[in-house]
Amino acid sequence: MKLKTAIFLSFLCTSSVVSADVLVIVNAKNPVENLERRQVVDLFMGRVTAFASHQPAKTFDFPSGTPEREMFYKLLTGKSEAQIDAYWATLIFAGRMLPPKLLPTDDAMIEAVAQNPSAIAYVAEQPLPTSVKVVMTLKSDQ
Amino acid sequence: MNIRSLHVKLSMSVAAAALFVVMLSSYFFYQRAYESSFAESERSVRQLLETVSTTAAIAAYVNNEELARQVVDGLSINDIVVGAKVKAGGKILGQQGKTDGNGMSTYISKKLAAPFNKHEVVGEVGVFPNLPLIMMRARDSAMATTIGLAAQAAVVALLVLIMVYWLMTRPLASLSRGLHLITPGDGNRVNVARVHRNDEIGLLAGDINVLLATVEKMLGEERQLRHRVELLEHRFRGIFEDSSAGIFLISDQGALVTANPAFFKITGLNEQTPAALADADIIDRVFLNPEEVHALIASALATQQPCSADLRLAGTGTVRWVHGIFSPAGGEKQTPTAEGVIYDVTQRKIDEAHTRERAEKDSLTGLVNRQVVEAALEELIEKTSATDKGFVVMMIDLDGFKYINDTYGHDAGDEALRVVATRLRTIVRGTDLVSRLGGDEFFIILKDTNNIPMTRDIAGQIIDVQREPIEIQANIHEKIGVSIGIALYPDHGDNGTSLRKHADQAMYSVKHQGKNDYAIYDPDILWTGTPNR
Repeated sequence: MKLKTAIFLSFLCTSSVVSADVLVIVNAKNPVENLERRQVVDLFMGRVTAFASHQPAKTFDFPSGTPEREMFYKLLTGKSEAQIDAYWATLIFAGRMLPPKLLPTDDAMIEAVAQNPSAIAYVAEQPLPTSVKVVMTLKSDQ
Repeated sequence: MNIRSLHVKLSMSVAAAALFVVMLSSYFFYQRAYESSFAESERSVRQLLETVSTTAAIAAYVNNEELARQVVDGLSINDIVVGAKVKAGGKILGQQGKTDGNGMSTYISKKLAAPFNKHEVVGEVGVFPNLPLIMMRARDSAMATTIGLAAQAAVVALLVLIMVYWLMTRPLASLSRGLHLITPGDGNRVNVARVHRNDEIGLLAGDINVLLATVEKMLGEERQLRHRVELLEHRFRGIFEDSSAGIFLISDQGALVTANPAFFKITGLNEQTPAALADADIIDRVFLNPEEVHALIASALATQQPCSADLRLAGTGTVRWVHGIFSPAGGEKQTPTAEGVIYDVTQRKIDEAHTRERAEKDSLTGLVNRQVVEAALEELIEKTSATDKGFVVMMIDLDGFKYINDTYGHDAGDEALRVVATRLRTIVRGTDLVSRLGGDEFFIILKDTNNIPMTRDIAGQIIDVQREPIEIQANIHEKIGVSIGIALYPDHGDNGTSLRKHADQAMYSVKHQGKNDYAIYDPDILWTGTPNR
């Protein structure tokens, strides 16, 4: 069983993303150097809309159904993508809450963070331009 | 007797027991049902909180008042909730209805964990349950349970009652009624339904029937025995009542205890007043010689043997005799009593007297006969001692009696004999004996005398009185002379035969010498001659 899972996971990794680790990135000008998991969760789940430096935070997310998104939330909260969607559905129905803005690709994601000092997003592990910096690494084997 | 009482008692008992059970179980089950219902309501409230906890957690997590309001609105819709609130980090995010816990209300709350970190508490959701409603519902539920239980108990009790009535009370009552109507001896038996043949009621009925049969048999035997005793008593009473002998019981004091009608008939006592007789000495009243009777009774009691005697009854009028037999009667414990049987023997006594008279007397003249003379002579000789005077005998023979018989017939002769006898009787004393030996021979004993002159005087008187003629037939008179021979005791003989022989010899000497005279025996004279008749 474990073997099968390992094979499946390795297939997933090799076919879609280069690395299993996910990097949480912010604009290089953002004073935040490091973020804890709780802080990342609060930002992405809409609880907190600003960094610790009181600088407003704007989250970016991959569209629903992408492997990057599923992997990110799985590693971050342990919840499935469907659960995350249900969470947002509840909040959207109540009103006054918006989910993160959606961007389709890694490049678009990196570009958006590089352009916006308030942005925070995630991408699969890869070489990054200096305009962004990694504040947290979600290890796939954690 | 109330036949229904058993059923009534049973009904009351079952009803009381059922009531007790219902009350006890109602109390118990009411409590249980109330608590259970209350717990159910609390569980429902908790389930409500559980249902909304995810949404409430999200609301608390993101501090979304809108979402919190939706949650509390949803909670308040439930009628078991009077108020609800969602708190996030000490701040009330949303609330609805009653929100202040003023003692009475029980606030039920649930801590809310962060949606993505179950270790972080982000707030709490709580409600105030509608306690009056819950209590009312609990009461209703408990009441319904209790009523159902009571109804069930009542139905079971009723069923038990009906069953007991059908299976026990009714057959028992029927048995009891049946037995009540039976008089032992009428041949009836108690009946029992077929279903009870093999149970205790059937056994009871069987035993009752056996008992009835036994009682009936005993009654029959008793009745037969009584009948036999009655028959015997009737017979004995008949013997007692109808007996011609007087039967009676008297105490040793002589008081009458009981007596049969014949006793009163014989004694002439009044049967209607036996009470008056009980005190008096009956012996004194009935018998002429009570001492003799008392002696008889005493003897009978002493010897325990019957004693009897002929007894003369007291009372004026005719002389009456009874034969009385006295026997001891009664047990040892009772006062000594004697049983007496008397029967009338008056006629027998009269007959006996007549017989004796006939044997001793000459029927023609009324004088005693030869046998009496012989006995009297023997008696006199025996009684007369040497110092006494002695006595005189006279042998008398009529002169010419044969002539009268032959001439005028036997009736005339008989008349002559009767007259002579009367004349002889008048001359001598009453104590002297005058007898007719037979034919025309008479014999006289003059007692207590050896006086010869007086003897001669009497002999002379006899001869003198015969000079008077006798009317032997109507208007026919004849003189009849007499020849008298005299002998004296003890001078002329020491026994009867010798005295008579010597008187005879003297009488014949008179006959030879011319008749109508007397002669005294003289031993010195050689008496000759024989009677020539």
